Amino acid sequence: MHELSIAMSMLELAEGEARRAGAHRITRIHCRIGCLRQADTTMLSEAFDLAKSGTLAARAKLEVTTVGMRLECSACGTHTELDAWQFECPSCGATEIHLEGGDEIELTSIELEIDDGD
Amino acid sequence: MAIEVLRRSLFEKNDRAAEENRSLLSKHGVTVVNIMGGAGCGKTTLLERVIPGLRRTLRVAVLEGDLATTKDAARIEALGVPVIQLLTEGGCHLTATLVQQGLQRLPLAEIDCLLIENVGNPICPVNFDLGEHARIAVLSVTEGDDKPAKYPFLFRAANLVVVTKVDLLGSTDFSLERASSDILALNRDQMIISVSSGDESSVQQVVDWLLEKCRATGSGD
Repeated sequence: MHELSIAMSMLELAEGEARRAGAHRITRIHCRIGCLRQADTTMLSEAFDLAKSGTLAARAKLEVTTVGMRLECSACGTHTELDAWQFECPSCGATEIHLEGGDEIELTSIELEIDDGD
Repeated sequence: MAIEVLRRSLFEKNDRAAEENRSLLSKHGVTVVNIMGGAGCGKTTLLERVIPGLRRTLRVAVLEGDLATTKDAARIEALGVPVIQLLTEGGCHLTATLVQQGLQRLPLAEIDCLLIENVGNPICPVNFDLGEHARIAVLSVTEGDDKPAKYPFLFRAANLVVVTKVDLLGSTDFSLERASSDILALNRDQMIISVSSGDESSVQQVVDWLLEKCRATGSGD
């Protein structure tokens, strides 16, 4: 259940950004998570809902983009995108691969509300 | 309403603490090894077996990660090495911040090799850099040979894979060949050592690997 840790880091980062921007509420949080992180999106949403209460994101909506694996074959040079993990080149079968993506875990954007009159 | 594009790593805070740990440990000449694997795969038993061999030449300490109880720490304490129990209180992995708290309670100047036993879990701990110099993935025969394929991140992230409980090979359908081939498919240079806790020479191979790791990092000079 590292989903709870992920949700809490996400809220901490988002709240820091929101405060810096002088916002009163966070209405939406968007993040990108690679398939290699083995984070379950349903569990992440549930963890996020648990962790968000009492924060600036108490009513925020979470959007998660799951990113597949991207690899470059060191043998034949082919670039491949895969939905699930695979550690060999689909073109030539070589296992000498360079990981180009799939291990992302990042906060990509947040949507903020600033009350008038401040 | 405003939209900000950030692209900030969600592990930023952990990774920062991990770097702080690494530089603190390097300053004191401590080599740190993070030992990971599922619950019941034999991490504590492996520690119990390798520590006596390591202690002949190095000063060893242990950080024990668990969700609850001090059962594992008590087993290590019986060996006479400093051990700090880190309780995650339900959390499924150690974090660099929790390790940082443990480090503050250890006499780092008197330690050459620090072994960290992570929480029994083959998925979550892999995501959290603790500031270690090397990672060991433990896979037991009783878990099944399908685990490297199921948890590729763990086995790919490891510098050494230790297959434990090989004395039980005859009682299970575990195939060392299948497991090894799946592990090597993730990392073709992966070092794999098969051990049985009763077989001293197999345990010695892990001790030798750890000694070499410590030598390479400059500990115990």
